[in-house]
Amino acid sequence: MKRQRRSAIDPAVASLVTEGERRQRRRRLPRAQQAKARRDAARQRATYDIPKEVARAVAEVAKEEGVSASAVAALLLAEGLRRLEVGEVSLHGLKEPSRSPKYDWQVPTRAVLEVLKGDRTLLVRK
Amino acid sequence: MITIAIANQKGGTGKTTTAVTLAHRLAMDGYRVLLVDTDVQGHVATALGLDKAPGIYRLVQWYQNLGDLLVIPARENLDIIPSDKTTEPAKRILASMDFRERILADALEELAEEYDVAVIDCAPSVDVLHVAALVAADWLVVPTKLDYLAVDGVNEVLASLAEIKRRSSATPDLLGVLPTFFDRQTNETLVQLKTLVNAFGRHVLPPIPVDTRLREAPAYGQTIWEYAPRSRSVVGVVNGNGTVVGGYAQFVARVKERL
Repeated sequence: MKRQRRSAIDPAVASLVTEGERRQRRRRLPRAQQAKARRDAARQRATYDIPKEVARAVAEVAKEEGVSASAVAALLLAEGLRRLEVGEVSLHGLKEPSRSPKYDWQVPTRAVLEVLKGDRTLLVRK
Repeated sequence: MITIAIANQKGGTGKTTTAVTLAHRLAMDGYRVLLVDTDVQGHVATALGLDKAPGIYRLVQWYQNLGDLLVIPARENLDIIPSDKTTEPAKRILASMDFRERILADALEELAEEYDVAVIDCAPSVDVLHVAALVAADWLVVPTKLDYLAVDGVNEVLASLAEIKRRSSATPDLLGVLPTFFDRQTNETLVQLKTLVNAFGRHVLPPIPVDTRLREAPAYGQTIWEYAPRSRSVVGVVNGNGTVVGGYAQFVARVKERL
């Protein structure tokens, strides 16, 4: 039987204490660093697995436009998500059944690279 | 019937608000609830938009076989035994009686068929009714402000609880210490929250954020579920990682885990 470790404190209370300690540390910083710490706290960091060709393409666009790679990734994701929302693009046709117990479907790297090269598209044909 | 006492010997920690809010939510969720006010101020009735009445005085008379209990319907599924200034002489009468600390336990036994849950709002004092409430209770909730004196009051009420457990067959357990008036902008709040966590560990419940709406609700004779059900004292505060923490909705959920 799998043993589950009991938490010594309520998880909601634990998260409040952690957050409070973070705020307290931030308040002790010099004023200029406080603003940076606040910006950092408001920022969401996420890790996604993407093919290196896509990462390289993002870096090239960033260099060309003189902005950060994060900004390019955020903008293109936002645009893609908006298009997905209004039905202009779809993942349909790129998905294949997955063997993973976590997911029903997978999108193979090959398909992502084909989209990058323009050989395939997410565009929905009307 | 499960009995929950809301107690702290320190005044102004949110006992009545917590008792009324918990009782009304459980009633809204279909539990048959009896809310007993043992505080001479009689604010349970006021908070529910009703007149104060001598419910505790009548309880003492009932205990002497001199009359019936006074139980007033307050909301659907929610009845109250109210209190008023006559609670003070009632306590004096009670003090001279045998088995006085059993008065609430016996009354609730009498009413056990009619209710699923009894919530007892205790007065901020150590008197005969306070002891009677702890003797009658299955669970104890201790609301506390996050300041030094209020946190010290938690220790006092838990000392009373230990004493009652030692001297009687009653076995009330600590359901939790409930931090109220939670204001995360101040350092003292965090210091006292950590003090509570170090002392009481998993018994510290997610806190109730300070909220003007909660103070306004009794003026309209409404509970927070009626007056401002989406206020932050109900839904909690958003933490840095985006999770919502605290509030009466989460508190009621924690209580329902024990019912």
